[in-house]
Amino acid sequence: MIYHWEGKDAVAPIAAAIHLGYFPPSVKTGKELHFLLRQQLPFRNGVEQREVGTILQLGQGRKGETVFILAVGRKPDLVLKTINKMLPLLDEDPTNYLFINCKAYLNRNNPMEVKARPRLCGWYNAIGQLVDQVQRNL
Amino acid sequence: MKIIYHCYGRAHSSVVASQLHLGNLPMEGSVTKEAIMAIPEFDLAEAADWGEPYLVGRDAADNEVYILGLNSQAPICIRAMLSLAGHLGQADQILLVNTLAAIGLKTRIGGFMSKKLRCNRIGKPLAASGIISSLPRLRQLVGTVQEELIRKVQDGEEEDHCHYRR
Repeated sequence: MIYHWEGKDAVAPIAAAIHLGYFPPSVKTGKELHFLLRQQLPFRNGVEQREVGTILQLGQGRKGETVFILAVGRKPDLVLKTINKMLPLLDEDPTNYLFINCKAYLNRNNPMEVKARPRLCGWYNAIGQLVDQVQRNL
Repeated sequence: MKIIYHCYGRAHSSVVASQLHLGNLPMEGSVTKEAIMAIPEFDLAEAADWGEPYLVGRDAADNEVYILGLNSQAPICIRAMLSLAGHLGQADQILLVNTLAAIGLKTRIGGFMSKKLRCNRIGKPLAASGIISSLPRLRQLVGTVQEELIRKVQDGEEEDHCHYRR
C-alpha cells in the first residue's frame, strides 16, 4: 500500500496515519483538527527534495498490509512506472502493490466544495474518505 | 545479481556499456563507428521505453545485465529503486550504474538530433562518433563495475568460509 503525493504537504502522511489508526478518519471541528495537526506526525511538513523518491515505510495495517508513503515530485509517472517495472526483477508481484494517488483523489473530491464544515476540516475528511475506500477494497 | 546501466534515454551510453560488460564489444583496442551502429539496441529506445529495465543478456558470472532510461528523473527513480530493494531485503542484489557521466557533448547532441528532432540519419552516426570518443571512459566505468562484482564474490566467499569455521 503506497500512498503517494508531490511531497510538499502532509496529505500522504495523514492518509497513512489514518490508515494505521493513529488519526481518526474524520474530524468535526477545527479545534479537533488543530489538535491533530499539532502532533508530531512524521513528515507533516512534507519531505525535503533529497527525500523525494524514497519509499518510506510507516507501519502495518489491520489486515497485515504494509503502509508506505512516497513523495514523487511534480512528475510522478516515470517514478511510478520504474517502481512497477522493478518489482518483477525483485521477484515481487506488482498486483500485490496498491499505489494511491492522494493528490488526484483530493482534486476529484475538491474539499473547497464542502460547505458544511470549515475548509480545512473538509480537506482532512476527504483524506479520511480516501483511506476508507482503500480499506474497504482490501 | 542484476546490473542496471542507466542513462537518459536508454539508447546510447547504457547500450554500449552493457555490450562492453557482456563482451560483445572489446575492452581494449579500436572499435569502428559501424560496429557501434550495428548494435541492435543502439539509438532504438523511445520515450515510451523509459522507466522499464531491458534485459540485454547475462555475463560470464550469470549476472543479469539491464539497460534503463530515466530521462531527467534519475535521482528520484534511483532513490525509489534502491529504497524498494532495501525494503525487500535485496539491496545487495542490484547494482545501478550511471553511464551518462561517461559521455560527452557529441553523443548528447547526436542523441538529441535523433530522438527529439527525429533526424536519425545525422543524429545516429554523430552519437556513435561521440561514443567512440567516450569509449575509454565507458571502458573504465565497466571495468570498475566488473572489479566491484569480483570483489563482492570474494567477500561472499570469505563470509561463507567464516560461517563454516564457526
